[in-house]
Amino acid sequence: MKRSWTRRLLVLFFKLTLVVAVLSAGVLVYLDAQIRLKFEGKRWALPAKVYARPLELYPGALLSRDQLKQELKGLGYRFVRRASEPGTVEWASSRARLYTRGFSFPDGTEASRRILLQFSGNRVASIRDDQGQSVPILRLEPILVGGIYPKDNEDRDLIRLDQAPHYLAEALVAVEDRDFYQHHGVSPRGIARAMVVNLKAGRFVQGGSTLTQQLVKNFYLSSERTLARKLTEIPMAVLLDLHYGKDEILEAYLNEVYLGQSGSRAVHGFGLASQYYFAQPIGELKLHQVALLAGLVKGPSFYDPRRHPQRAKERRDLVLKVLHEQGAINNAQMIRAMKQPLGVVKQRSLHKGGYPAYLDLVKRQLREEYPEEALSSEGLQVFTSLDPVVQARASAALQTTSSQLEKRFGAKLAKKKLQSAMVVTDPQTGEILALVGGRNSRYQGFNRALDARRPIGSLVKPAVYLAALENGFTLASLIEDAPLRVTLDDGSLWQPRNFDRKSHGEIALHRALANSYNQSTAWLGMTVGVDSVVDTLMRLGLKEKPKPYPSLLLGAESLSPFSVATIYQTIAANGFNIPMRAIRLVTTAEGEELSRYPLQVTQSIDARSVHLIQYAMQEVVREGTARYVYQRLPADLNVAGKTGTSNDQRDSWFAGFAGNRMAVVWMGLDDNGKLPFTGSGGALRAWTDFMVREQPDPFIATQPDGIEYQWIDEASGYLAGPRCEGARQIPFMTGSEPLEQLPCAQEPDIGETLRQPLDWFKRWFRQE
Amino acid sequence: MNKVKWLIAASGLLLLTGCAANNTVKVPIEDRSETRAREQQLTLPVPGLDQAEPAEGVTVVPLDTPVVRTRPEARTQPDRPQQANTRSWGNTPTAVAPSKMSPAVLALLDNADLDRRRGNYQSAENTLGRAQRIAPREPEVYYRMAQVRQKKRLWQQAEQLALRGVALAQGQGAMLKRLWLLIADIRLDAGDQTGAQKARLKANRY
Repeated sequence: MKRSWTRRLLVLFFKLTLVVAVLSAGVLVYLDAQIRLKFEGKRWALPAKVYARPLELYPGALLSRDQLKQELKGLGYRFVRRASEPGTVEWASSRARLYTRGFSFPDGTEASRRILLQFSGNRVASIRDDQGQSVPILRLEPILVGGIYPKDNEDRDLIRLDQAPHYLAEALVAVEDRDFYQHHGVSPRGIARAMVVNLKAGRFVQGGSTLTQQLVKNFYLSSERTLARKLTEIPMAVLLDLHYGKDEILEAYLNEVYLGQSGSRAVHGFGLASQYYFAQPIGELKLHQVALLAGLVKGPSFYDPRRHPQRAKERRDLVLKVLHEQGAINNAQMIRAMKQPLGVVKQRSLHKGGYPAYLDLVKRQLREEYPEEALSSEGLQVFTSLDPVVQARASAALQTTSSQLEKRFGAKLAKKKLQSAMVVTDPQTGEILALVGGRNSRYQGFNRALDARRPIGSLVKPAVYLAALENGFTLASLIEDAPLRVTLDDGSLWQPRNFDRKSHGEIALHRALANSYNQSTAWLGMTVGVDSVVDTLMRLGLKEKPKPYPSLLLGAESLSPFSVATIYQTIAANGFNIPMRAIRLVTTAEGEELSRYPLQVTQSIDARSVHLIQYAMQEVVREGTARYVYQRLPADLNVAGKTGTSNDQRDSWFAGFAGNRMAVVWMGLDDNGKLPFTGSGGALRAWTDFMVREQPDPFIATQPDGIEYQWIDEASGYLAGPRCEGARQIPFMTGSEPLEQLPCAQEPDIGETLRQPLDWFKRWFRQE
Repeated sequence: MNKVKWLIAASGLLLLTGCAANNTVKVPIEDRSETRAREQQLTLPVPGLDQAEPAEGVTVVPLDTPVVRTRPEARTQPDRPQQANTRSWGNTPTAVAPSKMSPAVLALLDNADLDRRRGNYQSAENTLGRAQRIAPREPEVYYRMAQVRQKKRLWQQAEQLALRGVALAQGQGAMLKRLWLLIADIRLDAGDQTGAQKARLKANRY
C-alpha cells in the first residue's frame, strides 16, 4: 500500500517531468526559431536615405572658398594642418588640400583621393592630384539630408565590424562585458560579480548582463523588466551564442544598441551615433570619440554629452582608464585622449532635418511609386537635386525681406505673421534646387510651396500675351486699354480696373504687359478667347485645367507656388516643357538602380513666340513694374519676370528667371488677410535679394530662326528707323512686321542724330 | 534528458528553417522615361504657327505723316545691333564651340561615350546629366543625350533632345548639320520616312 503510493507519486513525478521537458523543448524550439528567423532575415528596418546633390569640383566651377567650407562642414570634414587621412582638409590663402572620402555612386565609384584645389576669385582655377596631374572633374560625397523612418522612428546606419574604428570593440567589451569572448551567452562570473557589487552597495547598481543578453533583450524582447522576460532572455542568449560567432553577435550589437534621441527619432547603432554626435563616418573616429560612444551605452540620456557634458566626460575618461587597465592602450594614449574636448557637434548644424519642405516633396513623389513599407525599411538610397547652398540663400532672402517688411509695415500687418514660400529651379535642367515652405524653414508644418493655393494675379499675364502672340498679335500691336464690361454666364458683370484706376487708351502690346495693365489684358484675352489662354497654360505645363472664366485672364485662378514654377520654367527654357524634378535616382541599399528620372524635354510652345514673350518680360524688369530689380542687381545681369498681386492685395507674387536660375516667390498671410504692399513691394524684393546672393548667370536670348528685329514707332506701331523719334527695336516673327512705315525710316542713318538702341536691349544681344 | 531536449530542438529547427522566408520587399526596376514620353506625345502637340496676318481686332491708327509702304532692302543690315551677320547672339557662338568646351565637360562626354558603346546606357545617361548641369547651353551634350535615348529606343525623347540641341546651336552650321542628320536617323529608326527626309533636307542647308 505504502509502496504503491510512493510508486504512484514517482510515476506522477516522472510524467510531470516529461510534460515539463516536452513543454520546455517546445518553448526552446520556438525561441530558437525566433532567433534564427530574425538574425538571418532582414534584421532591421532601414530608413530610406535622402541625399542632396553631390558637389561637383572642376576647373572653372563657380565656387568660393567659403562655399566649399560650408559644404565640407556639412559633410563633417575636419579642418587640419595636414590633410593626411580621408575626411580632412587643410586651408591656405587661395588653396585647399582635400582628402576626400570617396563615395559609391550608382554610375561609378568616386575614389577617395587627395587633391589640391587652387582658387581664383570665386572660381576653382585648377585641381591637381598628388602626382601633380590635373584632374578634370570629381564629385564630393553627397550630404545626407534626411530619411524616411518607420513608425517606431528607429534610425540607423548599418556598419560592418571591419568598418568599426580601432578600440571600439575593445572598449565595449571592457566596460560592458569583460568575459564576452569566453562565456556562452550568459556569464555566471559576471552575475556573481554584479551580485557582490549590488550587495555592497545595498541596491541594484549592476545588471551582470552580457553583450549577448543585451542584444537579445533589445532585439527580441520587449523592454519591460519582468521575471518572464528575464527567464526567456537567458536561454535565448545561450542559443544565440550557440548558433553564431562572437564577431557576428558583436556586429549585430554595434548596430542594434540605442545611443541617443533626436526629437522623435531614436538613434540606434554606432554608425548613426557617429554622425549624430560627431558628424563624421564611424571609421574616422579617434580614440577619445570612440571612448565617449562606448561609454554612452550605459545610459544615453544620463550621459548625453550635449546636455550633461561633465558627466559625459567623466564617463569617457573612465572608459579610457579601463582600456588602459586592460592593456588595450598605453598610458600616453590614455592621457592624450583624456585631454581632448568632447568634440560633439551642435545638433542644429546637422543637415538632417534642415529641409522639411524639400523632403516633403521628395516623400510625396516616392510614395506615389513605392509602398511605405519599402521606403522605411529597405534602406533605399534617394539622390535628389537639392542644393544646400541655394536652399540656404533662398531661406535667408525670405527671412531678411520678411523682417524688413514687418518693420516697415508693422502697424498695418498688426502682429500677423507674414508668410512666404519659394521654389527655385534650374530652368535648363528642370531640377528643383530649393524649396521653402514657410517663414520657419526648419519647421515641418504647412508646406506653402506645395499646398498654399492662392490667386496668382498678374502672374497669369505672360500666358495671356503668349496666347495672343500665337494668334497673330505682335509685340507692336496696339491694343485697347479702356473700361470694358463682360456679362458672365451667371448674369453678373465683370468690369476689371487698372491698379492706378486709370485707362491708358491705345497702347503697344509689349508696353501693356510691362506695365501690367488689367483692362488691355482683359480685352486681349477676350479677343483671343479664354479657351485659347487655357490651352496655352496647359502647354506651359499646368497640370490641372483651369475653368475658362474671363476672370482667369487677370489671375483669379488659385495655384501653388510650385504650379506657378512649372509655367515659368517652360518660358525660361525657350518653350521646352521640362518637367520639374526633385529626385534624380532611387537605388537599393546596395546601389542597384530602381528608378531614374532623366531629363525630359518637349517643345510645347513655338520658340519664336517664347522669344517675343521673353522680350516683353525683360521689359517688365527694365522699364515696367519690376524696375526695382536693377536697384540691386548689376545692369549686366539679364533677368526676366513678372510681378503679381491678387485682388484686394492679399497675395504678393514674383516669378522670374536668369540664365540658370528660375525662382517663384509668394508672400501673404495664412488667414488670407490684406497686405500693405503689392507684388513688387514684397515678393519682388525677396526674389531680388535671392538673386543678389545667388549671382546667377545672365539670361541670354538665342534668336530663333524666323525672328527679325525691326525699328518700330511705339505710338503708331509703324515701322520706323534708327533716326525716328520714339522708335525702338522689337522682335517679330518673320512676315508679321507692320506694313506701314514712317518716312523717317528711310532717312540714311548717318550723322550724329542716330538713335542708340536701348541700353538693356544691347545687353540682351551680347555680353559686354 | 538534456540530449532529448536538444534532439527535439534540432528536429524542430530543421523543420522551421525551411519555412523561414526572407520577407524583403522587392521593388521592381523600371525606367519611367518611356511612359512619360508617351504621355507627352499625346498631350502636348506643338502648335502650328503660320499666322502672318494680324488677327482681327487689332486696331491700326493712321498717322498724320504719310506712310511709305515699300521696305528698303538696306534696312535690316545697319539696323542690326550686332555687326556680324549671324543668327546667333551674344557670346554664345564662340563660347560653345566644341573646342572651347571645358575639360570637365569633355571628360564627362568621353566617359559617357565609353559607357554608351559598352551598352551601359543608364551610366551614360547619368554622366550626361552631370555634363548638362555644368554646360546646359552646349548642343553637343544634347546630341549625345539624344544618341543614348536613340539606343534605348525612346525615339520621341531622342528627337526632342536633339531639337533642344538645335535651339541652342543657332549659328553653328556644323553642329546643326550633325543634329539634323541625327534627327533624320532617329526618325528613320522610328519608321518615319517622310520626317527623316525632311530632316535630311534641313541638314543639307548647312
